[in-house]
Parts: sequence; C-alpha cells; structure tokens
Amino acid sequence: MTIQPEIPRLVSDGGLTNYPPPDRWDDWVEWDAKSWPRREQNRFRLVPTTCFNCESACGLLAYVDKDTGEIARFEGNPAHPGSRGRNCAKGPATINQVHDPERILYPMRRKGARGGGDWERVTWTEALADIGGRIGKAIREGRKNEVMYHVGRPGEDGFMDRTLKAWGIDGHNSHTNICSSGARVGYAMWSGYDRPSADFANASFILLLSAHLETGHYFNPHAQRIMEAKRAGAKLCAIDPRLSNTASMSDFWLSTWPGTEAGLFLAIARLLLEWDAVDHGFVRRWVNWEASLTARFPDREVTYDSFVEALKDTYSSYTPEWAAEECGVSADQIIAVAGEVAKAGHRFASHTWRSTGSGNLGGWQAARTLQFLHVLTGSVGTKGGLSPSGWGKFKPEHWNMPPPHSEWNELLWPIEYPLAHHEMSILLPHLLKQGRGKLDVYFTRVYNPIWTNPDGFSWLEMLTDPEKVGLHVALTPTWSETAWYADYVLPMGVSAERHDTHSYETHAAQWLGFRQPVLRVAGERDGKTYQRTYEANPGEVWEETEFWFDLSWHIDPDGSLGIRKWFESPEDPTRAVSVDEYYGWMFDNSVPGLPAAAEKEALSPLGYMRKYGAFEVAKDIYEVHERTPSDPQSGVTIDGESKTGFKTPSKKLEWYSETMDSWGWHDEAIPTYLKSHVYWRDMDLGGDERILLPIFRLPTLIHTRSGNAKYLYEISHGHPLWMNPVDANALEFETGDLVRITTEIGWFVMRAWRTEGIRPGVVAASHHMGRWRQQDDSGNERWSSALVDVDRLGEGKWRLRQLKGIEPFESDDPDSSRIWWRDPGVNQNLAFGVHPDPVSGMHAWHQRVRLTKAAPDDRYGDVVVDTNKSTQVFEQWLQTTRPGPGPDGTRRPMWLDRPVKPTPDAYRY
Amino acid sequence: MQACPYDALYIDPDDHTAQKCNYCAHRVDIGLEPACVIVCPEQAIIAGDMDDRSSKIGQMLATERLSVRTPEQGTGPNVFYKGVEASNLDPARSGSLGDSGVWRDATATSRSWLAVDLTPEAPEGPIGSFGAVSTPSPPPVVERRSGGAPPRVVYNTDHPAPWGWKVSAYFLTKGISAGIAIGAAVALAGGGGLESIWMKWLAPLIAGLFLIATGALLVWDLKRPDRFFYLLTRGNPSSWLVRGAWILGAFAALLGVWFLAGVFDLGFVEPVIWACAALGLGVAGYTAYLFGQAEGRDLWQTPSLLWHMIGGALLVGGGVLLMAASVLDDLAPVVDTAAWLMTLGAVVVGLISLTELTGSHPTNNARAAMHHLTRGRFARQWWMGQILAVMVPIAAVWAVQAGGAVVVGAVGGLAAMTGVFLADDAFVKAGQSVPLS
Repeated sequence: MTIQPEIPRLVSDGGLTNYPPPDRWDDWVEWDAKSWPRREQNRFRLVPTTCFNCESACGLLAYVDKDTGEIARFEGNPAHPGSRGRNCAKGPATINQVHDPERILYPMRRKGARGGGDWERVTWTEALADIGGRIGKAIREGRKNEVMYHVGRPGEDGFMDRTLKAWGIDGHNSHTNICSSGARVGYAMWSGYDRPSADFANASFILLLSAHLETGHYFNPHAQRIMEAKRAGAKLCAIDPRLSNTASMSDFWLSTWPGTEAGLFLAIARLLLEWDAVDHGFVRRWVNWEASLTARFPDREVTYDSFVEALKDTYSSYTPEWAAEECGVSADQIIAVAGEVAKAGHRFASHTWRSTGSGNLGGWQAARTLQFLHVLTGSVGTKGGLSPSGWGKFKPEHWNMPPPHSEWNELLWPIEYPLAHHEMSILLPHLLKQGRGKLDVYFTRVYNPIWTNPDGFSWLEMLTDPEKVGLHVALTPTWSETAWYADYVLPMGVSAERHDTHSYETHAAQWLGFRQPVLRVAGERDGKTYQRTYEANPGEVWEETEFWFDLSWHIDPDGSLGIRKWFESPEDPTRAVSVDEYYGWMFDNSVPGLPAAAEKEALSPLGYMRKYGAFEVAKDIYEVHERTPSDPQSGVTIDGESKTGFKTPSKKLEWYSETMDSWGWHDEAIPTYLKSHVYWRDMDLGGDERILLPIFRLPTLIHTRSGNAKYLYEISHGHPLWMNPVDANALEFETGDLVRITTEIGWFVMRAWRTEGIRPGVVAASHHMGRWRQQDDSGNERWSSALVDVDRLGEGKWRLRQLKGIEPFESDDPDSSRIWWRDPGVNQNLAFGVHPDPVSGMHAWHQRVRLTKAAPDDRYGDVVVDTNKSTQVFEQWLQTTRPGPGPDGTRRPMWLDRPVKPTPDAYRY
Repeated sequence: MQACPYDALYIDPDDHTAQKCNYCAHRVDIGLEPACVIVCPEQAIIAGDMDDRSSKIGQMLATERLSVRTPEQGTGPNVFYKGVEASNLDPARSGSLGDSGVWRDATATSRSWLAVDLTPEAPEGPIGSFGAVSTPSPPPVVERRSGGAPPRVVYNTDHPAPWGWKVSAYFLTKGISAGIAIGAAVALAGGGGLESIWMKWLAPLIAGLFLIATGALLVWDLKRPDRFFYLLTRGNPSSWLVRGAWILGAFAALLGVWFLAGVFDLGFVEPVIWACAALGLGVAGYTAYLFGQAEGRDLWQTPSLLWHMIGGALLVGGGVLLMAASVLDDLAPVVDTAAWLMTLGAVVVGLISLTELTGSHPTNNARAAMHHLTRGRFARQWWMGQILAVMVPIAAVWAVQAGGAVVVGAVGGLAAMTGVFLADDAFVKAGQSVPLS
C-alpha cells in the first residue's frame, strides 16, 4: 500500500457509477477501505470470471491485489449480459471458497479401508497414470460401461460431452433426477425443449410455482428482471405451501396442497376456455390439434372449432370450486389469478423448475399444465411471455468434435424408464445390487450422493463394496461426505481457478460466458507463462479441463485406442492440447459476432473473452418458431409457409403426445392431473401423518458446496422443522421440541418450529443442512458440519449420531475462532427411499411421514435407516413402470434429448 | 455505541474499534456507488446526491412518500425507506424473536429482546393467503389485506449489548470510593473521629484502591485498552466519558494529598477531606450525565439518575464508615453519624426507585426497558437489589440504634453495597435490552 494524495474521480459532476471502466481493469487504483479515512491506495488487476455457486453462471470480477498477488475480493462483472454486474450473496462469498483454510490442496490416495479416513499425498502423475491405465484397460477389454462420470453441478457446457464421446463410452451420469427431471419432461413433451425461459422484464403477470424471487436457478438474473417488471406495474403470484420470501413479496400467494398444482392450472385453463381468453390464431397455427383430435376424439370432425370444444369437454370437470376443494385454496383466488393470466395475454410469464415437479409422483404434469396456459394465451415466445430454453441459450461448437459413441449403459438408462429425462442416477446402488453391472472406475465430480441423494446409506454400502465399485475418484475442491469414501481425492479449482464456457436462458437473448482462472490470467498479463493452470492456483489444485486432457492422454498413451488423437495439440501432436488452443478455436470459429467485436478492440477473440468474460451473441429473441428455417426440410409448413417450429416430432406444440401414448402412457399423454404419492386425501391427517417438504432452498446456500463459505453460513445455518400451530397443537409440539420424523425406511430427529408460514398438514425443512464429518479435523468443513458416528447396527441397519455440533476452531483464518453458531442441522435425505417417477424418472422428494415425540434415547440429529426397506421401496416403485422397448423396438424415443447421445444403432433394444 | 439510536455501531473483531457503515466513503470519494448498491440483484438500494434534484435519489425525495427510522430522535437520518411496513422500521411494532427463527441459531443477544409479554403472539389460525377478491369475474381487482395480528420476527441479526458487568462493577467501585470521602466529611461534620487512622490515611488509601479498581475496570472495558490515553489526550471534551476521566483523575490526585497529609500529619487533613467529599459527589454523579448521553437507551435518560447516583454514594459511604467503625474503636464517636448517612442514602435510593416505579416514562423504549427492569427478565435481580440496598440498611441502623453491636450496622453496609451492585447491574442491562433496529 502506498499513500497518495489523490485518485481521479470516475464521474466528474459528483455523480456515481457502478464499476471501474474496463479500460482501467489492468491497473485499477482505489482507496483501502480498512484504513479509511487515512488515504492508502491499493492497486488491482481486475479479471472477470464466472460464479460456480449455482447454475446461473453470473459474472464475477476478481480483484487481484498487485502487491500480494492474491485475490482480494469478488464483485459482479458489469460486462455480463445475464447478471449485469449484480450478484446474490453466493457470488461475493466465492472469496471464502478460495481462501478456505481447510480446502484440499494436494491429490490424496486412500490408505487402509475405504472410508477409514487414512490418506497419503500422491503426485498428480501417479494418480493420472493409475486412473488412466485402469480406464484404458477397461476400454481395451470391452468393459466400457464400467467407466462412469457422475456429475453434480456441471458448470460447463459441452466439454464433458466431447470428452466422453472421445472415449467412446456411455458413461455420463448426472444429478438431474434428484433435481429437475419432472419439469423437464413436462416442458419437453410440449415443445422438445426441456426448460422454460420467461421474458420476465416485459411481463405484466408473473406466476411462480416456486420461491424464484429468492432462490433457484438463475434467480439472480431472473429476480432483477422480475423486479423490473414489478416496477413497471406487473403483478406477481407465488404458489407454494410455504410463505417464502417470494410469497411475501407477491400480490397473490396460493398455498396449495402439495402435488395438486396441475389441478389448479387446469382449472385456470378451463376458465380461459370458458371466457374465450384464448389466442385462437396461435393455437390453430401451432398446436397439433389435428393429430390430437384424430387420436383422442376419433368420432369428431377434424376442425379447429371442434378441437376447442374437445378441450372444453376434456377439462369441464376442473371447475374453480373443484380446484378450491382439491388444492386447498379459495375459488375466488383461482378466478382472480385466471383473470390476471387472461388480462396479461401475451405478456404472461411463469416459472417452475423443482418444487412440485420434483416433489411429487406425476409432478411433471405441473410444468405440462402450466405450459398449457401459455399455449392457450399465445404467450409462447412473445415479448413478456415464455420461450423454450433453447432459444435463449447459445451452444458453441467445441474443437475437433468426435462422432457419437454407439454404446448403451443399462445402469444409466434402464429399460424400465424409457422416457426418463436424464439418467436414473438415484437407482445406481440398487441396480448394482441387482447385479445389472459393476463399475471399475467411478468419478464423482462436485457430487455428493451419500449426502444429497435419497437413501444415502445404500450409496455408502455401494461405495464401500469393492466388488461393485473398483476405483472411486472424487474430483472436488473440498471434503465431502462422499469424498470420504473415495480412493483418490483430487482437488479441483473453484470458480476462479478453472476454464469453462456456459450459456443459460436468463432472458430473451443469447450470451456466452467464459470462466477463467484469475491468478493465471493476471500472471499472464504480468508477463508470466504457465503450462498448466495449477502452476498459478493454490497448492496443486488443478482445473478439470486440463485434467481430462491429460487423463485422456494417460488412457491411450500410444494412441492405439484412437482416443489420444482427440486431445493432441494442433500445433504439436506429441503433447496435449492447451486451453488456449482449445478455447481459442471455439472463439475464433463458432461464436457469431465475437471475432468482429474482438477486432474492433484489436484483440483476438480469446483475448476479448479473457478481457470481458462474456459475450452477447444475440438479443431480443422472440418467436423463433415463426422464423423461416435455413433448411426448408427441417421446418414445418404452417398456412402454406415454411416455419422453424419446435423440436417435437410434429414440430408443433403437442397437446397430445403421440410419443407418450405409444410408449404406454395413454391417459397421461395430454395435460392432465395425476394424484401424488403424498395426496392429502390418502393420508392420516387426523392422526400423526403429515406431508414433509424436504427440498426448499435458502437464498444463501448451495446444496453441499457452501459449507466453507463463512459469509453464507453465518447468515443461514439453523434447520428447524416448520410446523403450523394447528398441527403443533394437535400433535403437542412446542418450538424447540424434538420431533421424530418417521419415513418408510427409517427416521430422523429434528426440532419443531411453530410458524404460521406453512400450510397446516404440511411440514417442511430446507435441504441444505445436516452436513457431517467422521473425523474431528478432517473430512468436512468445520464451519458447517457436525462430528458424527456412523454405526452399522446390523445387516442394512445404520445409525448416524451427532457427537458435537459446530464449534469454533483455530486456523489461518481468525474468523474460524469466532464461529458463534452451533446448529449443524439434520440430514433428511438418508431416511428417504427412492421414488423414481415412472415417466420422468424424477425422484419424488416429498414424503409421507409420521410425527411423534422423540423417544427417550433419541438425540437431535439422529438418523436411523434400514437399507433392506430401501430395497423394498425401490422394488415397489419399479412395479409402477411401463418398460420399453417402444413401438419401434428402441430403448427410448430418439427425438428426446439425452446427454452424450449415442448413434441410432445404440437405441435398438 | 450506546448513543446511536439505531444500534448501528459494532466492534470490529479485527481491530476492536467501533465501526459503522460510512456509506463506502472510500468508494464514493472516487465516484463509485457503495458496495451494497452495486451488488443488489433487485436494485433495492438507491444512492446518490440528495441535493442534486436531477439525481434519482433527488427526484425520489422530491416526489415520493418516504419514511425514516425513529424520526423522534431528531437525528436527521439520510437513509430513507420507500413502501416499508412500519414494523420493519420499528421493532416495537413486531413481536419478538423468541426462538431460533427461520434459519439461524438463537443467541443470548438475539432472543426475546422486546418484552415478550408486551407484544402478544400472533394468534394461531388457518394459514391465510392475501389477495382478497372483490369481484369474481375478470378483470378482478385484488387488494392486499392489511391489519390483523402483529408480524412476528423470524430472523434478526445479533445486537450484543456493549456494556456488561464491568460497567456495573465500575458503578460500585467508584461509588465506594466517592462514598468513603463523603462519609469522612459527614463524620467531620458530625463530631470528629479526626484522631482515627481511618480519617488520617486509611480512608484515602482504601478509597484510592477502589479508585484504581475503577480505572482498571474502565480501561479493561475499552475494546482497545491501548487507546485509553486517547481519552485524556485526544478526547472529545463534550463527552462525559472524557470529562469523567478528568474528574476521576482529579479525585485520585486529591486522595493522594489527603493520604500524604494524614501520614505526615501536615495539619490540613480537614480541608482536604471537604474537598475530596465535594469532588466525590462529582465522581458519583457524573455517570448520570454519561448515561444521559446514551441517546439510544431511553431508560438511562431519566432525570432521577443523578439523585440515584448520589443517594447510592451516601448509602455506600455510610455503610463503609460503619464497617470501619466496627473494627476501629476510635471511630465510635461517628457511628451515629454514619448510621444517619446510610439511612439518608437508603431513603434517597428507595424514594427514587419508588418514583420510577410509579411515574410515567416518556417513550415506548423507556417503558419497555422499565418493564424488563421491574417486571421482566431483570426484575428478580432488581428487587433483590432494592431489598438489600434499602430495607436491610434501614433495618440494620434501627438494630444498632436499639442497642445492637456496630457490626450489625457493618453488615447493613455490606448489604447496601451488594444491593447497589445488583440494582445497578440490572439497570445497565435493562437499558440495553430494548431493540433499536
């Protein structure tokens, strides 16, 4: 720090601006905040990168201190089109993850038994050679399905798809069926696009089946645009059994019975039809009404008017009064909300992602029926309406793309779930137990299934059985409950320590973001050179791009498997491709407009992305379906004109899905209402049975990745069971009382919190808390985890018991000795059996539970589970499936998306 | 910190100094918006030049209805709120955070701040939805319902009370020190004891030791003890913290003179005792002005605090003199005077307490704090203090007058000191027990 008299003001007339201008990012001078009012100067290099704490991929601007060479803080990146310089609490908290005193800095290899907690440091070369050699052997021996990459938050787009294609394996496993498979199916059956992309900023009525103003994917970019609309007069409706912050800011809050929301939306649809608040021009042009009539109403005349009548007949029973009774809200409210939808017309926007769709059997119909409201009002692709995700997401081509593989992995895509949206990842322990295969090399990457997935003890049993999992490699920046059971723990960079590209449908535009390792970039601007990012990162923390390059090389060191060639540098085939070569090619060749924009600034396209961290490819994207396709063959003819249309087989919006019908789901092939597995009328609400909502999020935490973010954990760490006083009185619970919550496979013990902010009959606890570690000084973050004993009480019988809660500890960070919070919370997921929806494959998270006083031996945080019962639950749900193959003898409808899509041959059953 | 009616100051854990938001002065100085402004996704915070009518904030101030926190404090705040619920600005309008809340631990300082029994719990009932509908046909008109039960606090940040037992103990040590001087003067007036070693040098020695303890407690309670000398050298002369330090210093010097005069029999012990007693009243009483400057703590603003402090000094002074007389026979002539002094002190303290109990208090904050003190969380301690400080000394004096041993009076003096400590400690805590934000 140097003392200087003056720093010139950025704005001359006393005004204020938000960020330093990019032309000064390389030498930014500002006053030191702590020394103020003494005027001490700090000098920074400002390097843009991308947040990794949720999926939104908001821009960050790292302030790299020129004196210390360390990252001092993160602010928002004003050049990012999605987040526009703003961030939620999780963005700036990235600094905690960078400076976490307990992070893993060197590769570790297990000594002793798996899960025994004994580790030794190894070199990266040893680790790469061992793992690569093992994968190479498996591929060579035709055991391709024994190699699996299981990813939590991907944080990248297309890179692993390319890598696995190059390996020629069907080994991509994701977390999607504990996350969003439900909503995805609901949307995909309409349009072929599996996500919603609302144009919130221009909407006049916004319906959120979620707590989206405070949490959820894209909530920062979305919330800022929802508030823009609200400032312009838009009204907001939140549907949630819980009085979330979002609900409290809404004009309407509908506290529905969980799982009945599709019924509510169909009641609104019925009102729109009754009021004729329907955009007939749109529906006539873009809904597959001819096919719908032919299939569902063969006796009727095939005219558009006849279709409208058929719709009215189909939904005639969904009166507001019926929905009021079924969903538990007032008919007047339903009519009022329907009125707002009708009034908004093309400027009706909505969002759902998890909530109902991820909580309930048949929950995917919530997204399907919600999309139906957009179809009826014609608010599809309109300004202020709802577009399919693909229109707002930009997917660049990757360098030197290998062809699709031709494998099919039954462990990921079992024949019982042909329509599942993404892999049946929650079933992996059960499928292995059934002897459907084994894993030789299993990567968990930013993925913590023992903690996060339902039925974690079955995962624990799987991971500790070397017959089922030969080698478990955990790629993670921090310890986790699952990494504890790894053979290798390989430290990977956090958001400011890696390269990735990404693009998300945050608004009616397309952008490409570039995550980059800021210390490497800052060093390069200083004239340093690096071969690999770990040279600039803390310790020996690698970035995954380079890890996969080098690992692929080790799989096929002599090139005989045909894998190495996909990773050879275009300059020098004797070495692996570099990140500059890889992303340089992408930005040179596959991002329209980027080379020209770069040239204007006398930069290379890569230089432009390194400077700004993001590029806006297109904006104001509306009504793409009405565009003329570049290839007329790929389009659909509407009123005699060739149009781009949608991604369904008919290229239209499919009210009736021929696919679903022909794959065995006749009744479900149209937007309809399905009874949930937690249907309230089926429950003993007069007794001690209640519906548990275990998945609501807090605005400041990130699944199991924020345990080392002290800023965030200080804000949120408590983990009460929300209980309405009506239920609390009936079951005699006061706030703070221990409650034993009994599920199908076990129980856990939490504390009650009486609140009017939840519907009677429903209890809820957020999904973030309940982290644990099995050694006091290792195995998880002490900012957030309890020290526990994991006891095997008998065959399949497990108990997790907390020995102590969160306590202050000594470390390089003085704040660790100032920890004042104590509650580590309770893991609920361990006590949940798997509930795969037979259509979407989504794990239906909501639980039927019994609430009783804790037994004398029960302690706060206890979780007791019998995995024999888990197996029974798996088998029960398996009975409800309608297995493939489909009518054409394939394993899965080919038009449906899936990750790392194989060749058509592989689809043959 | 105690002077801020918004409880906006905090102690920085790194350098242990009081800090508050300074509107990111280091950023604004170079033309950057404050950090909270740029990060907010919803742009809920608008910052700028209020005097510039063309700025956004200037326009809002000119055209919109905005509120501020506690306007009655007359602080002229420059933070304005738009469309805010009153309960968000005034903690007295919402219930207490009586438990762990929605997603954080309860701590000793975050729980049940406002009188639990003053604000009714929100009544239990079916979960409501707002959005009452006036007409069932489109386009409907929807009104947001207002009124009903008071909102419940479900999340709060920590507002630890800055002053604890060290401040209460300082009340006591300082009171004893001042009381010894006052008692000695009263003894002189009442007929002598000047021959006693007590009056010569023991009293100033003990008073001096208690004064040293007072200073030690004060310095210890500073979050940065190394900055104690700032108070003397760079202090703000309008602050009673600084003036108090001067008074204590002068008193210490005078006690030294008394001690030396007594030890060396210099012949002017008597006038020095009178001077010490006069300054002793200042030592006892200045704290009332110091607490009066704590604008955020309405309980402490009471005008009777000065008389309470002086009454306490008389009470303790009489008590200490009785204790000395119980071991020093040559103080026998002053026993009656001491008893008289202790009684006077007890009566003054008792009357002040009675006045506070029966009188009215000007603000919600003062009423709530008084409730905590006399009927709430601190009531047991406060009432125990009243019994020990008022009843027991009077009873002891009566027993001595009725022929009891002097040691009974000494026990009364000990009780008086204990009672004063308990009551004052409760007073210090209760004053800080009402949430300001």
